[in-house]
Amino acid sequence: MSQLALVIDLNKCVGCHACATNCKAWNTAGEFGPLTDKEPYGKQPEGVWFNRVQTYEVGKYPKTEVINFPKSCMHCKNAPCVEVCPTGASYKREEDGIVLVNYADCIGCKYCSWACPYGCREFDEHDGVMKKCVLCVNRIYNENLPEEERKPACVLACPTRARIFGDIDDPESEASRAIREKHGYKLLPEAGADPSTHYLPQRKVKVELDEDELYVKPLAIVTIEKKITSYKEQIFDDFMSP
Amino acid sequence: MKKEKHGHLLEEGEDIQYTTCYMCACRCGIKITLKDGKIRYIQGNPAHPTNQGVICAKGSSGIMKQLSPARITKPLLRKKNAQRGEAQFDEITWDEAMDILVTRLKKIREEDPKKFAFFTGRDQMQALTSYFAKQFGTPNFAAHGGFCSVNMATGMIYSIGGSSWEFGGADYERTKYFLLFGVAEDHDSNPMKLGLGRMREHGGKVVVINPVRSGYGAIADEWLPIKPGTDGAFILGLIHVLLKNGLYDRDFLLSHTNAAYLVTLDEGGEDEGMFYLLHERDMVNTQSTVWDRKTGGIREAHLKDNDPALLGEFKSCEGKTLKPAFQLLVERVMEEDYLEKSASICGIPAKTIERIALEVGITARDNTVTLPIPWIDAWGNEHKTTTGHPVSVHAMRGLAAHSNGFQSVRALSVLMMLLGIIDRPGGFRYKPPFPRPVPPCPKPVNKADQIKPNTPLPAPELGFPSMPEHLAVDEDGNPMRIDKAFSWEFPFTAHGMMQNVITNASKGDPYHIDTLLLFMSNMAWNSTMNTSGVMDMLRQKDKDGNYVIPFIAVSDAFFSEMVAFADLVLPDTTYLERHDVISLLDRPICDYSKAADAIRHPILPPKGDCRPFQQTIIDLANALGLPGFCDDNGKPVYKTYPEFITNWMPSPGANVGFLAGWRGADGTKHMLGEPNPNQWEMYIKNKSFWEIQLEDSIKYNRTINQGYLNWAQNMKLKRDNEPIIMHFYSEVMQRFRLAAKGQRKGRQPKTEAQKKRILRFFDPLPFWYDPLEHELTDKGKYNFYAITQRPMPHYHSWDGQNAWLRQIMGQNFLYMNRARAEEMGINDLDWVWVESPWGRKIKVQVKLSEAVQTDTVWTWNAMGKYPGAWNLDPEAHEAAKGFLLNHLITEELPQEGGGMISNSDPVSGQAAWFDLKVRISKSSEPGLYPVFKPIEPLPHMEKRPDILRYTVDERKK
Amino acid sequence: MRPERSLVLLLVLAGAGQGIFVFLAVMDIFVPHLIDGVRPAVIYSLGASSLAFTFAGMAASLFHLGNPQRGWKAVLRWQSSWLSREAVSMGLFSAAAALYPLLYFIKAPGGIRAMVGIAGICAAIALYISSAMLYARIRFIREWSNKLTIPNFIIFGLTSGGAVSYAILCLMGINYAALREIMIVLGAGSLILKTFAFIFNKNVYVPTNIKNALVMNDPNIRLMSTGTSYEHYNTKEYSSGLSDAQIRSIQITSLFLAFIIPLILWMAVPARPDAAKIFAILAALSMIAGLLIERRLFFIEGNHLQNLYYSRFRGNAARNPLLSKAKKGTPVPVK
Ligand SMILES: Nc1nc2c(c(=O)[nH]1)N[C@H]1C(S)=C(S)[C@@H](COP(=O)(O)OP(=O)(O)OC[C@H]3O[C@@H](n4cnc5c(=O)[nH]c(N)nc54)[C@H](O)[C@@H]3O)O[C@H]1N2
Ligand SMILES: Nc1nc2c(c(=O)[nH]1)N[C@H]1C(S)=C(S)[C@@H](COP(=O)(O)OP(=O)(O)OC[C@H]3O[C@@H](n4cnc5c(=O)[nH]c(N)nc54)[C@H](O)[C@@H]3O)O[C@H]1N2
Ligand code: SF4
Ligand code: SF4
Ligand code: SF4
Ligand code: SF4
Ligand code: SF4
Ligand SMILES: [Mo]
Repeated sequence: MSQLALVIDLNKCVGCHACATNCKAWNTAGEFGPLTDKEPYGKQPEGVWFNRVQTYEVGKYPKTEVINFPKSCMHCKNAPCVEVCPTGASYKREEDGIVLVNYADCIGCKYCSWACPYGCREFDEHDGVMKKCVLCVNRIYNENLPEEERKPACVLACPTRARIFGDIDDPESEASRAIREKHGYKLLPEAGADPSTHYLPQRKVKVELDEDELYVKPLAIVTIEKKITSYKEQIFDDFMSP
Repeated sequence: MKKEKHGHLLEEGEDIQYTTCYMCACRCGIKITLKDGKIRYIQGNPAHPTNQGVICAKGSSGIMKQLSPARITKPLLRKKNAQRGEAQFDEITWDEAMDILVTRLKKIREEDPKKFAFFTGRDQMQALTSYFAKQFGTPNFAAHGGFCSVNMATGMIYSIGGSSWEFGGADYERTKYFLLFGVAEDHDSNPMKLGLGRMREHGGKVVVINPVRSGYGAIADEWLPIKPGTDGAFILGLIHVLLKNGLYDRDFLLSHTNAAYLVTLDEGGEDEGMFYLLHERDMVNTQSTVWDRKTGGIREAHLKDNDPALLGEFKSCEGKTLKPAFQLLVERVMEEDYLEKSASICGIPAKTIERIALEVGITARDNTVTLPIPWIDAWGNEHKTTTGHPVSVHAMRGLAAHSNGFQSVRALSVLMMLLGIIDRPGGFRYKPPFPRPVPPCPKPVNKADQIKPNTPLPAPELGFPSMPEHLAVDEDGNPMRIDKAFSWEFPFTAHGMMQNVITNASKGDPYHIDTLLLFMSNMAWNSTMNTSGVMDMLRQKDKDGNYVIPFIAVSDAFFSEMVAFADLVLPDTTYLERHDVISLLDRPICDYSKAADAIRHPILPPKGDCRPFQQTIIDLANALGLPGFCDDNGKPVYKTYPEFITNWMPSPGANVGFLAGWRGADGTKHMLGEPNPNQWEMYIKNKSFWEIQLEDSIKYNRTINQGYLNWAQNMKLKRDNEPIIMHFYSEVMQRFRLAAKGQRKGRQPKTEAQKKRILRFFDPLPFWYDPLEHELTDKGKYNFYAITQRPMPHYHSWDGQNAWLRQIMGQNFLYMNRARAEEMGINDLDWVWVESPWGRKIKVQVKLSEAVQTDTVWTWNAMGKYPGAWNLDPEAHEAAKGFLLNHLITEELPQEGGGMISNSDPVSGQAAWFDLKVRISKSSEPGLYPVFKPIEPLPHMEKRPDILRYTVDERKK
Repeated sequence: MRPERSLVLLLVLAGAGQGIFVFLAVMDIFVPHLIDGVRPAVIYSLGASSLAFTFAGMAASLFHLGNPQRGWKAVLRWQSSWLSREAVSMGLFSAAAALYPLLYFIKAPGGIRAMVGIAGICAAIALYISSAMLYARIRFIREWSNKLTIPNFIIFGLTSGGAVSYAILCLMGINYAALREIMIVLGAGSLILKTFAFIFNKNVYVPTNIKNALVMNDPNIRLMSTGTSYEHYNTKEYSSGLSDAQIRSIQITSLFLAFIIPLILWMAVPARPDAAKIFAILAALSMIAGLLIERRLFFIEGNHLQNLYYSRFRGNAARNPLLSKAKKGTPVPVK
């Protein structure tokens, strides 16, 4: 089996939104578009995006960290959005785990979006169908493209190269290695969707100096401290699930 | 059958084209997939040296620039009875437009060419525009650099012969310790992000010094929330610790800089503070001296067997007191409580400054990077390897945009010299054509009689003065230029002072002008200080009811605020519709060890009647019969801009031109060579750029690398092959001081105020002073610093009309430190009055943040829009909630001894955007202030659609 | 969640429609003597109103769909999707509900009618359950995903169906004391259930906050930008934008209109038929109005997990001062 996915390195993401706009550019003009924009030059522009980048502040001044946080469909292994879809328009591909919506079958009931714990689906009011990240399925297998460009648009675009694409079921893939070596984690595992997208935490480099450093000359030690602790699965256990 | 192109298999109707992005000035290579003539996709060009395949948020949104309903596609003339600012125009033809302009310019050129002022904003064609102005004969030309970051440029160029900005950067691959001062995005947008990403990968430490933590700060290992305008003090604090602990690279100082040169200390003479010279020769640097520890005597600097002293006090045979420059710096920063003083100024604890300095110094000292690259220096010494230290710094407008910025950048340059991290592996690296001599050779026009009717200027409008004689002042010491650049008040204004143009022209100080031509610059709005005031100046009339600035022509592609104030509007193309060069003569795309340039070529047809401004320049030059464009009989030589680019050379047989690639009749020569008629095609075939890699042996230590110096001379990048000695100590500045003291023959400042300024600010060693506006401000009352930052997904005012980018950011807030705001009873999303000491105020909405220094407030730059401009709904957030801080920033300060003077750095003329101090009070009523009367969309512009569904598949619309 | 009018109408109207049918079928099949003499009037009037309510609900629900013209496809995934099951049972139920009066009209044998009736009752219950499960299935919306949701849907549907049936019968001059008593019992049951649900919702502690959502162990996390300056689907669809105080007043209104007022009216129904008529009609109207508010509230109270990312998660601790004290140290973001 394979499960294609994105791995997003929060240690590199500067919140530039390139992944968001490049995604929009690739997809609006392609098979899964258009990605409608309402009132594009008006008071309340509102468009469909497959990928958005949020920003959080963590901690208190002056010990503040800033986290830029891109989020798109996680292509969950146990995708609740697929299970709840009444028409079968939402489906998960056997061969690579990509979750897609077949617009032609979608009745626009929005139920799948309610079932997604992450808020990763966007409803296109104009088309009356549900849309979301397609993991650039029309790039990654696209034989018209040069081989090195058969990657998601957001991955190609990302200027800090904070986005890795690969098969997380293949332990040898770059994605799996990054998850292993850089403490990758998933969002809200307790929600039970088993997301495929992984995030790599911010890590801080510290230079440790000893007093005698000034007189003798050992190498300055560079240590990497993992700043963000991953969270235990614990939360929904006490639910009164029917 | 599918066709193959550049590795793509093309479907029916598809095409692949490469060109250069211009959604900002970073100059990335882009690859465009077209379907049936429409853009299917824009991505980064993987082969391109600048962006290596990546692309930013703006670059990705180029499709929306094309689609904007704010595009102007007809030449426009202000309606007879309409006022400036009302945006009421008649559509005219290009012939009519050119007629109007040519008639005016012809007359000006015949009478007094300086009455034509030509200023350009965020363009990349200053080589062409400045040449046009020079051939026209007006000194009144500059691009945006003066209000941009000229402190960064000059502060470093006058020290190390190169700068960050887009002229150099860090060796991210090898750097283990990186100090990033005052950068939010910079011109090196994608390269910087690529570099930071790489640093995160290999585990180097990134320290961000910035009052605000955002963007790049987010991934920094440490954030030092500094008080705005105090970096000089912080850097000198670092220098104090480094010197105290002996953490400096002595060898580097000796070989690359003038730190060991002996300075004459005896007062009163022509040589006070100048280097002590052993022999009288006519060149400046080469005959300087050092104290040789081996022989115990004074010897010419850089002799092979010298062992120069850095410390000490010496006597010359004629009894003069001499000290090495280094000694003078030590004396300056070695006071007992120096560190505490620095700390109290910049707000960063002394302990932290000390720790950072030690981390930096020890990382540099103990991690020598050695590359197996032999090279030979300018004195014939052979080096078996190339070594360096893995520490680098990058700085931009956080340092630059203050009135003490030049000296802060000097301090930074000295810090880099002390660490020995310039153009060596692991440190700061130049990009060709840098390094250049300190300072570079071109000097501006410097005599009033050089401006003559119907005559080109004998020298460029802009340059790098190294003595008072190079200033652009007349006999009486008055400025020759409308912007007062290269005056006694602002001597090193290498980029001009565009920020002064409208204010000065409206006052007729130093004189009145007739026609102001603005290109790609929104001077009525976000690139001006005191915006509301400047809009009034543009509307200002004399007692006869005529505009004080008689005629304003504007080239713009969009319905910007500036367009509303134009008399004549020349609709320009977008970057996808025209030819362009990103030339070595200008701001090329070079990498640290590559010389490179690039082109744009039309991917799409021009929209409506718009016309490339480059073509307009050629047409104007031809109509005016300007030499250089026309032959001796005034007959045009080049019809089109592409033709001009291919064939033009600065002088016959120079074999240099705008484009360095594929020169020579058959395109086999590079850098130098005769014109090649097929040059454009060859660029297009090579994905629209050209590059050559420098050989390993000439990649590093280029200021003193003889191989490089020879190569640069051969390639005409440099006039000679002399080494470039970095100015640890700036004799150039001392020369101005001597003039001010009356100890130097030649030009001297006339007024007491001028003398005092020069004496105070032209210190040959870096020092910190309170920004000028702060000195004049009641700090107890105006107790917040107010600054701006660039948002990554917007380029200045360009992207308000971009349907995607404006969704990402459409409103700016005033960000305040949470605890501080709460103390004042201010909560998230409250509205507050923000007042400057100059009687100006705005009312804006607040957002509380933990990531901003306690005494600082900030906002995103250029988000606010004039209602109705850019063909946005007047109620759009940008106009109804977003705001410009610029209304508060004063363009002039009261001058000692009366009158007003530009609010700019007294050395470089850099606009002091970030010196603003404000006070803040909660408003009980929400709502923006000031509110302007909306303007209507121009009749010829497209209607704003309610729904936008971009696709290349017509059936899907 | 953002309450959607079409879904509120669907749930209330179809719910009542099912309830009416259940009342009709139960009376007709299990206590046939009750309606001896008025059988045709009862079957036609209740049958018709059941259909009317159900179809009105279904019609309303189409407005919810982005592509109603292919709404039929909703039945395709009945193996996995509760929404699909809802659609299927809705189809079965409306078939039964339509057939039932028809069978009577064509004088089909009572046995067949009884079978269809029982099938209809089953379909109605299945429909209640699927509708309920559609919401209860979303595990992380605790206000929906709990043991009260199914009883809620069933009892409210039956009660509202009963209320309407009672009113219609009264209107026709048929006033069953037994029916009135059943209504009082159902009404009281509903009231208790709903009160219990409100208390449950008030105290439901979803022990999660933005720390978990981002997997960052710091008590101070604040959203600075949603990635856009404007609202979008994910900031609008999942929250009502109402304050806690507004929600509380809606809760009280719905309790009064849907349950307390009808209960009082039923208990006070006078003996005089024309006066009883008015009481019963008022009770039914009040109940339907109340249930419309209650169903709206059901959405409003649904607190979607994704709101964590947008700082719109209505953290329980923030709503309950007692809890926030007890849970000190685990701050919960407030909107
Ligand atoms: N408060 C504050 N103010 C600042 C700054 C700050 O940091 N804070 N920064 C300053 C700095 S560094 C700079 S460089 C300036 C920048 O300010 P400007 O140089 O004025 O740049 P913009 O206003 O973005 O753009 C100028 C015009 O270029 C037009 N344009 C875009 N594309 C084209 C084209 O292809 N052809 C033509 N002809 N026109 C085009 C746009 O429509 C716009 O009207 O702002 C300065 N202003
Ligand atoms: N996306 C995007 N990229 C751009 C531009 C754009 O508009 N958008 N504009 C281009 C242009 S013209 C320019 S000039 C460059 C400028 O690029 P930057 O130099 O990055 O310009 P600013 O955004 O003005 O950033 C100034 C930074 O300095 C900080 N700062 C302010 N005062 C001080 C101080 O006293 N000390 C320190 N240490 N920091 C301080 C501010 O918080 C801010 O982070 O960017 C270029 N690149
Ligand atoms: S909106 Fe479309 S994809 Fe989502 S559940 Fe409904 S039918 Fe399926
Ligand atoms: S992230 Fe949401 S939309 Fe994507 S697969 Fe998981 S549940 Fe479905
Ligand atoms: S994988 Fe493709 S569709 Fe998904 S976010 Fe990235 S660019 Fe968008
Ligand atoms: S493109 Fe990369 S750096 Fe930029 S926001 Fe997306 S993930 Fe972050
Ligand atoms: S950084 Fe500038 S030039 Fe490069 S892709 Fe972005 S907008 Fe284009
Ligand atoms: Mo700039």
